[in-house]
Amino acid sequence: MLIDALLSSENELMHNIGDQQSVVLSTRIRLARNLSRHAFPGWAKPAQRAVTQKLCLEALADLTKLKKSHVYRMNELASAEKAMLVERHLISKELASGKDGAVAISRDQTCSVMVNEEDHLRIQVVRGGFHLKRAWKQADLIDTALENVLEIAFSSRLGYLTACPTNVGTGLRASVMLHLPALVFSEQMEKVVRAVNQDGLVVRGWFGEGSDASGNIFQISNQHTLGASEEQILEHLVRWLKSIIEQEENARLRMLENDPYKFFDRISRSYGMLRHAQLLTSAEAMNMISCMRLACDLGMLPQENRAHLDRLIIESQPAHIQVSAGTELDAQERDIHRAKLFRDNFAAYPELNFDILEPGDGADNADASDN
Amino acid sequence: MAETHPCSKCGQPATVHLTQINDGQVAKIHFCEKCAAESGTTAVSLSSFASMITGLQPLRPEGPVCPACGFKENDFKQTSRLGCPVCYETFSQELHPLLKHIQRAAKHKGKAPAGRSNLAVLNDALEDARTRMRNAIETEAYEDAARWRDEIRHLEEKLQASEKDQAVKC
Repeated sequence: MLIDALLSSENELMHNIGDQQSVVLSTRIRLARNLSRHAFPGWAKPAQRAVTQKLCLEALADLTKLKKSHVYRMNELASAEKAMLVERHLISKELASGKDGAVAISRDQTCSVMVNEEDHLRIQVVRGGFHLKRAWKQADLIDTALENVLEIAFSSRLGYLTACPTNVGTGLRASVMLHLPALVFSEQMEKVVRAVNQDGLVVRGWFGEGSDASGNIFQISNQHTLGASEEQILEHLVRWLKSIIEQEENARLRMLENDPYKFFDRISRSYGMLRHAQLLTSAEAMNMISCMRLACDLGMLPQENRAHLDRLIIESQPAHIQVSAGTELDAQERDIHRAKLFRDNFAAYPELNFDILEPGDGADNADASDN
Repeated sequence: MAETHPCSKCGQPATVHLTQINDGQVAKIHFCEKCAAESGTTAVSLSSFASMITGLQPLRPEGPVCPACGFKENDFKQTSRLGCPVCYETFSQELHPLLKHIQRAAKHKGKAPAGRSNLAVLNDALEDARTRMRNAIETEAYEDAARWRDEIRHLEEKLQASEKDQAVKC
């Protein structure tokens, strides 16, 4: 496969290099940019898209940050390869299904720049843990370097001009992936979603727009891109995120105090299923991993297992299962392979520790971040 | 009894009646025999038919077309995406209320590419001068208003010169 080199190299989100945290899985910054004097990809003719692809890839090849990066043109990749890149959040579904798209992915896989997606350039930086400012600085550096070699469409009144008016201005979408099982179990999530929506933030599922929140994982991001500076957008998001993280931690403690048996039972059932099930759908697996992640956070499983679980979230996605089986699979065959993946991995897991209610133990409240 | 109409061109009683339905909108034009003959075929487009008559505006204006990429307002209704960076200028009137609604703002406040910051500074100064001139007129301080008017002209010239360098064309 063309993407073998990328799959075999270590990366932040799958190999425990990043900062593994109990509530915040990862942080993402995305900047939308376009070349002036060129039609946006959706309106451009194929020949025009070929020109913008060439201009963008040439500019990206000269960037220090993207030296020796993995560069793929979408028409060269098999559909399973594209699906794997989507499952790793390195490209979007839109790029995978669109025309004349390409991507440059940095060696450490923290930066990827999509070419000819909805906009000519989509700069993306992903970091493990809660690191909005650090990720923004990195994206800003790449953006500034690109501005030195490309003529970027910009208006002093409207800022960076994008194909969709919902991105015009800063072109910035800052998002944080949060694991909020206790807020879901205690049925408080709807209230949280309503409150953040009213204050200019958007809540989506694990795969962004249109995806459900399987695995109790939510992506929270800014809705507006015009009228506030990048720093103001990040500060607004951070204020809300800190409050949501605190609410989740409190909800976890309350569940543990109020009804520990119901709580332990939920975790034990997931543990048993992952160890013994013969068929597992992707959504079932996500929800059970969510419980295991919670078990790690509360000390029922060793903390080190959290990174392994985050990796399993990605490895249990349909395209990853398909590619690791090495043959075409139908839905049920995928569920068989997925169940085997978990049985094999969980055979080495220690038994759950139920002595966490002793004084001194409890939830991991110390999420370190630079925000 | 049938309704009589004067010829849209010369005012004589009309005998030729043209009805055209475009996107669900009905438009009617009436001609006397002479003017109808002068107009040639009846299969002309509505806008050219209408513009033939002095002083009569097209009954259904087509709306702006982006000079850089040929994008029309209708294309935006279908795709919710614009055609090119110049479209923001072409459709500025249509986009202004939309941006106010979806973005709750109308003015960029963030990063600018190096070199473009000058433009942003000039634009802000221009906006400021316009507000001050309006205020001066409202308070009948006409000498101040005249000073701000000169300043606005000066700033507009500078802005035009800077924007010429960075004009966006597809």
